[in-house]
Amino acid sequence: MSLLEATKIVSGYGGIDILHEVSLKIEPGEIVSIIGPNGAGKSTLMKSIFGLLKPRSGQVILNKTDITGWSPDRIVHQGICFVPQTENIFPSLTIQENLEMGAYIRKDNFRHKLEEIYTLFPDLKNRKNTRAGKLSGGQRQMVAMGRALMLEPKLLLLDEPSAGLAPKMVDLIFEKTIEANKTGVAILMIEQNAREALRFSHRGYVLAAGENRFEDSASNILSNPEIGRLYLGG
Amino acid sequence: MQQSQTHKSFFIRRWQLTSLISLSAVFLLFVVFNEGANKWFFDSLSTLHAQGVQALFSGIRYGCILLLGAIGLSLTYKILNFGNFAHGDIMAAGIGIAISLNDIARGVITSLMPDLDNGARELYSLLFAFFGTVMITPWVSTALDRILYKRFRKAKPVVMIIASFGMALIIRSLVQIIWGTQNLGYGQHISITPPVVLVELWGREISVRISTQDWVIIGAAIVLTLLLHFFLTYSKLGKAMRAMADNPDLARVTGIDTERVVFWTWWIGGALAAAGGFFFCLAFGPFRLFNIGPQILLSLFAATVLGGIGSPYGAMLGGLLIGLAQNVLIVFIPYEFNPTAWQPAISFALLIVLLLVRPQGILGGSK
Repeated sequence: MSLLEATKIVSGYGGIDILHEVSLKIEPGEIVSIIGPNGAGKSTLMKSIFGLLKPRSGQVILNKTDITGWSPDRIVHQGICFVPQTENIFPSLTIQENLEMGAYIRKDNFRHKLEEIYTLFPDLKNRKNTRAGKLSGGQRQMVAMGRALMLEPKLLLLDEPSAGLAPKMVDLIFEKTIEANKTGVAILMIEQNAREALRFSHRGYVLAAGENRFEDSASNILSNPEIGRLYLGG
Repeated sequence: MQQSQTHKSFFIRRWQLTSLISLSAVFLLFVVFNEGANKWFFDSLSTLHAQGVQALFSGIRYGCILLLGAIGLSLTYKILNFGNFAHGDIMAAGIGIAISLNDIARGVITSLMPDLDNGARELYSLLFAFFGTVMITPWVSTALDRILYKRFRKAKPVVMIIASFGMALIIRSLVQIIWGTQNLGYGQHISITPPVVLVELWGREISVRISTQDWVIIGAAIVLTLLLHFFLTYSKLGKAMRAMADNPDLARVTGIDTERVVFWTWWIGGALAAAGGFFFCLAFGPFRLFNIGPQILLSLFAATVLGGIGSPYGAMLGGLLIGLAQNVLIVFIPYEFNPTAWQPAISFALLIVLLLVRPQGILGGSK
């Protein structure tokens, strides 16, 4: 039984379809990468899964529950958290307050989870009373991931977590993604650094022009010469 | 962009500083060499010396009233991104509710405890009216949101502003229908004979009239702003309010119930407006209620924009500054020109000058 199964999603903005019957599956505890050129519909697919866009047709099933067309705040309650590519923190709130907002819908005491996040991102603990708007790009990304992990989601959606970061920071963010995955959360991410991302992913999807182009285990995608030439830059 | 950044000093840009200094120099030369200006200047200084402390105090009192109203305006602006023109009339409705509650309470107290003297009776009924209006008026502002503004959540700010302007007219008429056109007020029976505080300052006796009401107004404004500060800083809902003001889309994605946040924003704004209105009437009443909304709205907007629109702390500071400006700066207007008539003009002159120098307001972010 898959954790999430999206079947034949047709979606887009205004009158224009960007996705043409795209399907995707995520098993519990997996890291799955979506790669593909600009305009392939990667972000559109993620937004359609999370309810930020209403699919025109197709189905999104999470743990046997049909969540197609649900609003994001309902989907959050079902255990999916989303980290947007940009503007993914509350700049005037402190790091600690950002993390607390992540746990907004939790009714229980989430102190232990907060400590866990601080163990995962020790940099944040030292500066927990700093306004998030003052942080560097990499630290912001950590706050955004930490915020999303506060709910202990079953599935974490990351939209280009490494975008605009220095190479060192990219490695760190990927490391943290793997560590977060080891705690049991499945991860679906979009990445421009496709090669690096596939190195630690379990599986990958190649999207092009709004269609499924290829889908396989990450190692098979990496060793496929044609995919390498067309989508991984040689 | 690059150019202006490199030349920016602490608060204002260099060319602005230069023009400010040269303007003051011209002004000083004028005062020194022109006999009329010279006389005006020293007359004003002498009035300032005699009435300055009193004006300062009146300014703080009026500022405290304004800031209570300005906070609500600022909160709804920050969360919903539009200036609510009906806010002044919500204040007027708050005063009306307080007046009615005061009348009811005085009637009940008179029949239950006939031995009470006038002052004590008024005090109890006013306490009842204050807490009553602070609890009831918020439902007026939340009702506005439910009935009208909620349907415009995705509309452009200018549509919202026009809608709120219409709402202001509707409330104004309702206030006129319910409370009529005669002068209404309260607080005439509690002691207004002011204690006189004498201060020896630069070899001259300075007297200040501070009534009990004034102390109550200033004290209550301090308590209410502190409460708001602690609410915004430490409560879960207050943090969610700030989060939503930062980034409403992310707040929704995080699972924050944004409609609930909006509801409480209106509630708190309404409660503070009611408190501000109550004190406004206590200090300056009795007056015709339906006139109050438009009259105070301009000062509220001036305060909100001066402090930095969207920043509740800016609204507090702006309210205080506008209150002070209207009371202190009129000392410089010669008596034959009817200084009090210039009060609104002064606050707007101050606003225009500040916006030229710092368009985002004193505490406004650069967003």
